[in-house]
Amino acid sequence: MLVKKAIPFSKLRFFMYGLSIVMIVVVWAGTVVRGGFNLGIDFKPGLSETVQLTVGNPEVSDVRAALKGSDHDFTVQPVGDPSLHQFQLRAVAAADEAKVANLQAVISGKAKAALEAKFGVDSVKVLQTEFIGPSLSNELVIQTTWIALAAIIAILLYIWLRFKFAYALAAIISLIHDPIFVLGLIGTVQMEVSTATIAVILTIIGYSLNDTIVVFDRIRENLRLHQSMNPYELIDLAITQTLSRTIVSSLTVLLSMVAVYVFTTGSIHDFALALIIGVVVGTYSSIFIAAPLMVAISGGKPPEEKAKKELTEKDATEA
Amino acid sequence: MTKRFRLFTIVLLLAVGGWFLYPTFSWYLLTPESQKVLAAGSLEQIRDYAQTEARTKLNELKDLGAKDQNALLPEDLNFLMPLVKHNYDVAKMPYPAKWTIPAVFKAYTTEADFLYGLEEHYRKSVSDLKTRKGKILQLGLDLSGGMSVVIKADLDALAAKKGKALTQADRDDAVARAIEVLKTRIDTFGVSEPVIKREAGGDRIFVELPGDVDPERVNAFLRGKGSLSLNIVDDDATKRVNDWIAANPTAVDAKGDVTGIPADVMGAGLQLLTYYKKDRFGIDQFVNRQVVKVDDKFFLDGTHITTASVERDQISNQPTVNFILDSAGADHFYKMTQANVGKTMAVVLDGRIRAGARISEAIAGGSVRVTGFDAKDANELKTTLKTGALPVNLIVQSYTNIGAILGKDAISAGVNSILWGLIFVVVFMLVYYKGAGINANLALLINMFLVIAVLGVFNMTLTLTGIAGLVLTVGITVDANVIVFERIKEEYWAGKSPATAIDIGFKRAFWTIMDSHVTALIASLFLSMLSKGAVQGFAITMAIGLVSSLFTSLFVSRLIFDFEVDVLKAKKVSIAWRKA
Repeated sequence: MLVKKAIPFSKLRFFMYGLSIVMIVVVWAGTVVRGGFNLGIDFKPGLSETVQLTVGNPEVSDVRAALKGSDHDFTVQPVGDPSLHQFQLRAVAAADEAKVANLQAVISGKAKAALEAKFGVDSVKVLQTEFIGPSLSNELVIQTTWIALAAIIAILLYIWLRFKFAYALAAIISLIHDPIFVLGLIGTVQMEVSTATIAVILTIIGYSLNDTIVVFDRIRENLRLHQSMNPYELIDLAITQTLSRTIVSSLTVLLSMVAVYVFTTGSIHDFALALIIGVVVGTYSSIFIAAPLMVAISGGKPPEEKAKKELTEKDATEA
Repeated sequence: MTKRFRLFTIVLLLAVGGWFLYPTFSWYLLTPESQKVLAAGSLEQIRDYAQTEARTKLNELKDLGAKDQNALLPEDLNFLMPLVKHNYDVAKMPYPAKWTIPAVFKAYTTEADFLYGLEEHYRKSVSDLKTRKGKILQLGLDLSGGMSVVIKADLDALAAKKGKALTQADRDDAVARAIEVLKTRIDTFGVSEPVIKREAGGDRIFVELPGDVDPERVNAFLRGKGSLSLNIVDDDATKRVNDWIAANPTAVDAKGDVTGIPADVMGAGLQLLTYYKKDRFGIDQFVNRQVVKVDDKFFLDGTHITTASVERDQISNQPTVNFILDSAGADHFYKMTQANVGKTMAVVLDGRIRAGARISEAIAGGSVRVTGFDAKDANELKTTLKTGALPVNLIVQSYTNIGAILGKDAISAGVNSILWGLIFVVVFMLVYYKGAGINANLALLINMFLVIAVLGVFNMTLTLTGIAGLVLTVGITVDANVIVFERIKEEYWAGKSPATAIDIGFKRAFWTIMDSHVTALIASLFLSMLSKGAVQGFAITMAIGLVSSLFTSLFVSRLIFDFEVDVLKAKKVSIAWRKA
């Protein structure tokens, strides 16, 4: 076996632990400063509507003024090409409106009436309406929490089954690290949080784990080949050996997600961006955080693995 | 497993995939736009199409026949022949030597009969189109445009009204009836291909209406509980009002509503309603106008009806519609029928008369039999009676409406992301891995093909988030190949022969690939349980992509390498853009 010269990644480990902590603190502080998450209608019930104003040259401030004094507080954002005068209206439904049978028609109707009063009859074209009622929103929050938890536990169990517990714990810490950072960043830039965000988080977890597992797999293999090696040198070697794979894989995912990011708008656009950031962070954490942490957890020496499913070169010669 | 067998498996899978994808392919790429529009048409549009086509064909035939007595029936109308021959047989006429146009006309007694035959053919051809469309990979509402509504049946309120906890049967019945009501209401709007289904075992109803849907109209069917009533018809007033309308035709507006009837003609406690019957296209057809009494004494609210069924009269074998009233309803109905023997009772649903029956005697006990319908009308009346009034309040929980224009933008965005994502990755792999890049790219394309085929086989819908999942699958597949390639490269650079390097590379990479795919699969399977369509689409596509990626990276890509080594006797492995 050709032994590449290992790059001493783990020398940087304390600096990287610190960097991670600082970055996470910074993005979460940013989220707090910006007034918390920008919750989408999945988690904050109400109406989100994209309208196009076809008469005159209305500005956002005009639209806001028109909707002022309505029963529901509307937030207004311009979307897309400014010359098309498209705006996203967002209204939050109150909890006591849960039993109103046709709440979306009520809110949407009021918005339309208020806009038409200001900009003229037939000046409002509704392009897209999305509504989530208070009762469903509650269910979604509960459901999402449980599903995310169950998924993480199932993944932990699988890694535990395939590796030792120290690997599983280190993998879990590094996989918690990634979404926490990405979530903080989402809060800081006030990207909308929806169920799609949960999909992003779980995908990031999947990717980050993927990277981590590839490195762990290699550490385990190296343990048997280089029994006398210092544990940190050992993981440096494994990381170095898998480095080109890690970079190539992340690059291809980035390339394909960049395509999505460039061509789409709205929630999928955000989705792609969050995923791109997540992949970068995931790659970073599996190189700098997961492996050194695993050594630290297992008390300075990676646990020896049972050799049951491992392949020796003898196995590999059969066709 | 021998290599021959592996090759056979792959070819077989591709063939099966191709077989399943062909309808989708031919629909989106080979079917004319006009036919696609037709298949998505509303009932009215289909009727107009059938009638215009039939009328045009008839005129063509007439012209042709007038020009040339001996002109043969054009081949595209051969579908008429079985019926033509049948009519000749029935009339005991001998077949002519040649089926000329006049000979074909002779088989029909009237022109209307002939027209009817043509219309039926065109109507069937549209429903065939619809069936074809049902078998292909569907586009989600975010791509095709349309409306999706999640409605919750408020069973708590129903339990409070009944004063007891609901059994599972009560809940099933209430939701099933609510769905029936929604179906009938949506049908009256003539929306094409509505999807109305219940959440498995739950109290939620999902409604999807593709295409450009007018929100105002849809809000109407979501609103309110609907009204069903049995009213006594006032025959004298009906005659008076109809005479007045005949004398004042301008009082009828374009929609058929009548305004400005003088009070002395109409009379108090009365209401003018229109009687509609469904034609064979399923569209309401005007029958006549009747005046009904709306006083309490002459009116029974439909919520008193507990159940309705269709049976056959044991003696006459005519279909009868039976319905049962609750006790309060039974009392009221007895008094009402007693006072109105010999009069007509109209069944009124949401302001339209749907059926009428003459009261022959006072009906006590709340079990009512109505006769005088054919089987189809009887069934329709049963549905009306059962579903006219909603048993529960419906609450709109979520509502999404996407204009068709936005849908078109979304399609081009989706197609562009897939295309460019693929191009970026394919080029990168070729540059970085050279010869082996071809293997990876081939495996990648086969993977995309298989994922789309699986989506098609299970009749799933492709949404924009599904496309995002597909793009992510590109990344996953490539990653699996990269893991293998890096391993092969290491072994090869360490001095192994190509065959051994490839073998060890695949063996070593096996568990790494397995582990990474299984963990991602766990995440995607959990995500697919989330009851939000957008996330589901993403998770399901990704899960299929993961399984398919396992197959292509371990099986397909391996076979290509083996082919290079065994068949092409490759002495070198082309796997890197630089030397070791």
